[in-house]
Amino acid sequence: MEHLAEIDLIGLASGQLPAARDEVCRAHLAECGQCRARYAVVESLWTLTGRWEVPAMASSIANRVLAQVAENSQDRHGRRSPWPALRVAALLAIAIGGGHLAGRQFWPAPMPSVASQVTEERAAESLAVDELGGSAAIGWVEAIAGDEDVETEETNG
Amino acid sequence: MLSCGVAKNFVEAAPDRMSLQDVTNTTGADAATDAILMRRIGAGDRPALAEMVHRHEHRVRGMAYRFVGSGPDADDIAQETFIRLWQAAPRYEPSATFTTWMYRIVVNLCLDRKRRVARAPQRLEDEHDVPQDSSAAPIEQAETVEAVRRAIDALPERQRTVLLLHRYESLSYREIAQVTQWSESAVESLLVRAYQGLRQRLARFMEEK
Repeated sequence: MEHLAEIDLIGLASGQLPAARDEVCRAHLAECGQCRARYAVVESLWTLTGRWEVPAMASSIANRVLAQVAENSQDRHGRRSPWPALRVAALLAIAIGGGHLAGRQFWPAPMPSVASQVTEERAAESLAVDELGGSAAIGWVEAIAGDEDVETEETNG
Repeated sequence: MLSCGVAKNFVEAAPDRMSLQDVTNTTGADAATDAILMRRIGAGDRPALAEMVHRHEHRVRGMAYRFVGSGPDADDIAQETFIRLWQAAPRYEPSATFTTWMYRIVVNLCLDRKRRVARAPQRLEDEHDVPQDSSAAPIEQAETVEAVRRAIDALPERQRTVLLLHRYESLSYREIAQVTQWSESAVESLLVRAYQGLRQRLARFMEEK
């Protein structure tokens, strides 16, 4: 004889088995002492867990829910959200940035000034210092001397 | 209850001015009433929302209470459930029974809350509320109830979820599967393991009974 599955015993205790299955299971229980004992345990657990009741509600939450809905609605309609302003700012930034890039494409770059030429020379010297390395004292001295020259030129120019 | 398709047809066929009383006189009235209320809520009808809260707050709060173990937290979850319901109502399609859909919201909110609490630093005291009227019940009864609560709380998350839906919300395996989006066979397997786990944890109380 095949014994009842555990899920059938749970179904019996909860009263959720379809009528036909319920009948078959109860017929089996009538004949099978082992399944009767198993079912007694399941039923006992069912009763025990049923003792846990939820404390009664002090009051309905309907007013809380409606108040929250009203507040959310005010948020949507009454208060100004920062998002539209941020969106406009972002669009402006893109437009200005895009315009600037486009301008660089169409108009030739201005002739470099004397000051920028000097800056380029300084950059070249800086690279030379890097090549010498931090321990090359002569390189540092020359670089510093060069800097002084550049400053003088800039001041005079 | 009406099947989903029938409920949908019923709602679509229902005249706009059909009263709730008319509806509740029909077979499968609960599902149809919920569907009609949802349609009204979707149109921004706040009294309909209040009606929906009154109809379901007890079960929503009960489920949340057993899940998170605290009255104030359960109230918060119940409130959030109905807010989500209000927000989702314009897009709601009665493709599943309303209560199944609603329980899905509750379960998700409860799981979120539980996980957040689990990640938060542990408090020294147990957060669970002891019912205020416990003095009226015998001490043994209170101990038994506390043991049941602790035993259920100690179950793995999925087992606890299906057990609460089955034992206290009287959902069928199929309905639990719809709520959790797990297969029906997985639900049955989880239920069997959950009840077995409880049996071990509550053996002492079952012997006393």
